[in-house]
Amino acid sequence: MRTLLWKELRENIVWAVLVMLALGGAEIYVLHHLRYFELVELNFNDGVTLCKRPFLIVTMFGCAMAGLALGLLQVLPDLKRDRWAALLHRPLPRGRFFWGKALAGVLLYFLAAGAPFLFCVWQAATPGHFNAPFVPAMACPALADLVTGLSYYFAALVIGLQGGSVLLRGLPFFAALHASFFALHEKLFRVAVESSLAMSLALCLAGWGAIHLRESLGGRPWLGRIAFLIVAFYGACGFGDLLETTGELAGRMGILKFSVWEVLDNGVPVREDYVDEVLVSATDSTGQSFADPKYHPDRVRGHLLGMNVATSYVGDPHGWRRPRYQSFYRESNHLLYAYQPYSHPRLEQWFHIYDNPRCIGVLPVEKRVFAQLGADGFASPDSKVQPFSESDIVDQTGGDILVIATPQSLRFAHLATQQVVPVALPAAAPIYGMCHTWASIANGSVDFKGVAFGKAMAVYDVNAQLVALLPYHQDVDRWGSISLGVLSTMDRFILRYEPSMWMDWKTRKSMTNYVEMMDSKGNVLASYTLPPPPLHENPPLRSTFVADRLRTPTFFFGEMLYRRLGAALGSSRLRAALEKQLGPDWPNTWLSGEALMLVALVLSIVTFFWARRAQLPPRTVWAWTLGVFALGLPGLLMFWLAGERPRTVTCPSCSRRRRIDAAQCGHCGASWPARPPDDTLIIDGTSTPLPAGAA
Amino acid sequence: MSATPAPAIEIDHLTKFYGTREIVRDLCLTVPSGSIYGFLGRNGMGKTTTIRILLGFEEPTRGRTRVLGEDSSRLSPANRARIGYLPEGHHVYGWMTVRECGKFQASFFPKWNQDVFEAVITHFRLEAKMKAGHLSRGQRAGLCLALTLAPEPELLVLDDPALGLDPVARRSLLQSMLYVTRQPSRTILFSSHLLSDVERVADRIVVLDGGVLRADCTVETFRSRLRHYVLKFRDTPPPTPRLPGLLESFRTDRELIITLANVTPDVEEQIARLGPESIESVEMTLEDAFVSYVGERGEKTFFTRQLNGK
Repeated sequence: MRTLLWKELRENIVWAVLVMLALGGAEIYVLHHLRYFELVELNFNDGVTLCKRPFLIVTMFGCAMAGLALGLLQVLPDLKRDRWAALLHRPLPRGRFFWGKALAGVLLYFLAAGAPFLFCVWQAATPGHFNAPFVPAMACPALADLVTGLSYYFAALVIGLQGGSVLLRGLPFFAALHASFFALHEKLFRVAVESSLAMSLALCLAGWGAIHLRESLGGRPWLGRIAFLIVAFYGACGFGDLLETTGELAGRMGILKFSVWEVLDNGVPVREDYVDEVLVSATDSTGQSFADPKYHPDRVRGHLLGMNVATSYVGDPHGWRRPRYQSFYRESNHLLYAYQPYSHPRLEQWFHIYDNPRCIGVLPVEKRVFAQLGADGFASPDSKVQPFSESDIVDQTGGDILVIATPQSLRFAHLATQQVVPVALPAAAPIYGMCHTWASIANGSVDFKGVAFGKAMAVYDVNAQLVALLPYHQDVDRWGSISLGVLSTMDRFILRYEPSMWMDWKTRKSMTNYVEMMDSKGNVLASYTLPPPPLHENPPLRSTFVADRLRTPTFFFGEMLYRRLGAALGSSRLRAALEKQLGPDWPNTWLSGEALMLVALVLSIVTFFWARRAQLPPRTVWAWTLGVFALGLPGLLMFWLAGERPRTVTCPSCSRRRRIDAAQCGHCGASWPARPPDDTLIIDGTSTPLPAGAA
Repeated sequence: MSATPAPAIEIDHLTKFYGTREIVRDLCLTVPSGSIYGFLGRNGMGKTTTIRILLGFEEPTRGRTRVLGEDSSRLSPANRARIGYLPEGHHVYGWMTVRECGKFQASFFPKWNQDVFEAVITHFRLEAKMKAGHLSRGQRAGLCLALTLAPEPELLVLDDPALGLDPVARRSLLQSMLYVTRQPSRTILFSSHLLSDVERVADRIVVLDGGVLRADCTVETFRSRLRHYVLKFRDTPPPTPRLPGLLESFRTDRELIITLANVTPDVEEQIARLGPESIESVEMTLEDAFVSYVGERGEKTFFTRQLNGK
């Protein structure tokens, strides 16, 4: 084994180093090249350092290509007929050759793809390289790509080792592709990595099975056979993923319609109706069009009031919390948030770190942390700060001010002077939320801060001066999602009440909204009741529509069962997913379930006759029929590509097709015809029995 | 009464298809322990396929094969260690030196005779420090042979070991093979196109033609069962009659040359009835006999007309 490992390492180290240089070069270039754009634009919406989208594109494709290339380069040269025979004839169990290859290959893969990754992590984690702080979890997306690349490495081994048609050998690649799609869309890092590792394991075992016998599944160890069938199934799914992704360009199954309520810059609500994402009508709360041409559909988008939600609901008796699992591991905005930079008296960039919550100030030019801000105020970069609590809210206003709201207090932190100023609360605590808003004026905008209390919304300017205190005039227990806007005159304030988030979606969608215009004293100047906009059922994408109906029945119903079990065991994530599936998505769920059962039934009937025609044994015919019923279209693809398909020739006795590997014809029972008499045979009969029919 | 030793190789009604093309058809063969078998046949007649099935690299379509008493598709590492196999490509890892090749190979085998290894590489004028990738074809063949012989296998399977070698290298290879055949318990199955080599080494030959076994006998039997007659006529010879065992015939303007297998007195009588002026029985070399045996069957005419058409 040690010599095998040495041989594999020695033979492929050059490829690994070349791949390492290519991948490392690309990763480092992307990571550093874009740094200069950030210095100028300071735009972190695209992800920070290791979470930058271009960097992740390189790691995603790069690791996959590295794995695939290393696997193919390792296995293909060995597969030359005589070289392979010479290798395998050595007295070792076949599996040992595979493990030798795989172990060396994994080491080389981690050298090729892991070394650049570690280098990039080191760069991001060390001061002086990037103008952003480092959070260890920022390495997760690239790490997930690194692990997913392993699937491609094993896929390449299976592609090489598996005999058969090009399509059959392509299945492992599509299985790895499926792992990529999954890792790309999965929100949780742990699940993404686990799924990639599971796929790698399946591919690894499939490769281990294939080294025992390349031509057919029959003679392989049972574990290798099962693994290959799993790979074939996910290969079919990966092929479907690819078709679905490319098919998304084909458009929707109908017209996309939706309607929303907004508020005009004069404080009057406007209902906007969109058809295929084009605004087609703008009407007031009575359904009338506006006389002023600037509020006509073609121009109204430029005359809307900027409003932000200060709180999702007021009060706490319902215990609702925005779930944290909605964060997506491939994005950095669940790890840190970049506030707007400012340049007075020097260029500074502040970040909010969500883990162990605190704010960190970075000097973009020097690329180093210069200060921290925690619950106990500003501190030097090296000192330990008191982290904010989970219920604290920190929000920016006016460029260089961070407003810190705890349930019981409000403070304005001046970044330029590094001073924290407490503000007296104008209404009874607790504070339920905070939002930033602004009044558009001729040459820009004036910032305000809205702070939601239990009975009123306080509005502050950037100097922490209370501008207005707006009492609520609606039942905020039910209409507790409250937004704030300020008209350009800066003496008129708009509150919009929408249904609270703790209510279920159906109730929310059927409830009215309210808009109130108030002066700074809180007097209501105008009030509007907004009927719920019509609920349009959005037509699905064509590809999604088709894919939904071709899903695997076992997975479809299995997922529902899994969610139900998870919800019963207390998983809020699974409960939410189940409620969505049985709630907003129920019509689609029902239709999909019905359609995919019908499709599975048709496909299994097709499989039954196909398998019988292929002269498979009755048990195998039934196994495939039931398998396809359970697995749907991927099952049929598996049967087509990976199922045993014995070759047949015309039977000389009955002229029907008979299996070449069976001694008797399946139809007429005839044996193979004896060889015609040959009077030139020279067999002295001392060692070899005469074949049947020989003269 | 001493028990008969188990055969080294047993092939029982072996059939192999590639797609719908039948490569080996209903092949039965038993190779007793201690014998040396030459496996003959033209290119593409199923020799290598049979060897690959024997060693478990391919699955038979029908039938079964056993090597050293074990099913080929499930050869244990212990039995593999008893089988030396030299595939036809003479593959070596080009980046290894000759010494490293030996060390690498030795690490897999329970028995390794360094003296044999060194004797063979010395015979091929190889040095331990030479890179395998820089060796000539003949030297590579020698190195492969050394790697195959050093584990002292009981059964040696050589797939066309002299393929592509020049006469000197071929001679060296043959000498090495003769060296190993000195051990009486060793069984050798080797395929080759070089009949002179086969003649010198093999006890018995097996001829595969179109995937079908056509001969399994000693070299002497093979030669003796084939007859080559030259019939001279005063005039244009008659067309060749349908003779039992007819392999081929040439008809020129005054001669009829026929090659037959398994000639009986009846057949000789039929030949005499053609009325030739003279009948000459020509002794055939193994190569001639083989070419006639596996060549195209039937009558060929040769210059029965003048080339200028006059």
